[in-house]
Amino acid sequence: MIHTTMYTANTIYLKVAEHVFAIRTDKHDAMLRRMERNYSPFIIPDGGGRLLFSIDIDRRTTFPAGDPVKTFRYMLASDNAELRIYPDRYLLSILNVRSGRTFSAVCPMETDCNGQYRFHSDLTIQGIAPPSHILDHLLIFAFSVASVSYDTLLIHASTIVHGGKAVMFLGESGTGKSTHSRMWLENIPGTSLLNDDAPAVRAYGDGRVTAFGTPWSGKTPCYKNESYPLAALVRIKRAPYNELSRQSSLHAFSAVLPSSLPTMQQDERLLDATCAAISTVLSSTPVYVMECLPDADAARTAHKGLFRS
Amino acid sequence: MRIKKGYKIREIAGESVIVSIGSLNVDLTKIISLNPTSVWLWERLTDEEFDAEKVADLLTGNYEVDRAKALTDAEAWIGQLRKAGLVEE
Repeated sequence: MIHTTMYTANTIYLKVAEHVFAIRTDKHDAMLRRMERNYSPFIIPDGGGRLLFSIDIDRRTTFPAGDPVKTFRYMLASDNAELRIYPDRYLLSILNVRSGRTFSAVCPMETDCNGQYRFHSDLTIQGIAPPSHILDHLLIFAFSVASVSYDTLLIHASTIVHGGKAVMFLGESGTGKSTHSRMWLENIPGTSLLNDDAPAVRAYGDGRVTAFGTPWSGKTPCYKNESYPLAALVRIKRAPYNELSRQSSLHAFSAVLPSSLPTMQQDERLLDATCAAISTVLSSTPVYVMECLPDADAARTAHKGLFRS
Repeated sequence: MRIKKGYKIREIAGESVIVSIGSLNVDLTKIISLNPTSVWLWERLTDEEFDAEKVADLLTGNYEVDRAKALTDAEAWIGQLRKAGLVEE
């Protein structure tokens, strides 16, 4: 249940991976209904302290004069997405094929004098409510741009919790990340699912690395506002046998970078920040490759290797 | 030839590497590790037009190596850059 006391005036506050950000809109009631399914556990009464970023979603987006430095085109489900990189801002647009509408977000590269990013978007002014996957994708990008300098990354991974610690399973689509998680849930007692698509990982100055559930979990409805120390990152590879092996630092980096958000890898500044954040995470997190079958023994082998039981 | 735009040396896990992002498919992301001599050459040749002769000049000018050996090493080095897709003709 969302109560009216949970937001002030026209602002919705959210807290993900201990970062607080704000969505500003005059259509907050409609947006809250749209967001209820996956954002409810992350909505907080008010911002309190400093905001990581704010996004005004009632604004018409204008394309800057001049050509972008670079344009990165990709598919978002069956929609056409485009990241335009200008000298001072990013413009992310998604053409929703079903409705024929284009939804955009503009993200200036610099923060304001309070250290806050001020983004804006036309999410509410296209005449239809923004499709959930587009709202999610624009917020994921905004969150990633703003949080990466705080050593926070969204990782494409299926994440389980066991013995009070999180393990993230990485890999390209179709390699069996979710299947491997399911093998743990079915065969290793005391295991739960934290997130099945885009958990956050955050490294702190004191060497702690924490995994967080997020509102973004792909096709699996698992939106947990929980956090656990990160025990390991495990890249899943299909093989005709089950074997877990520890990766050296450079191989570990190669295993993790492709699992960061593709839109964070296209611009030199964002790529620099992403590489730096991954390096910080890896300085206190072991990385493994799990070559495996989609079977129960795979989960037992991984469990034994990771938890030494 | 020239080093392609957009590639630069990054310090990752204590090593000097070039990160090459696949534009369409994440599987194409490559991490190329550079030894100290490669880093030194790379820094001098960024934004420069060069060939094996020029690389050999740099090597003979700064390392105890004869011309023939330097040229062989230069060609091998360029071959590796080419294979990794880091140079354009």
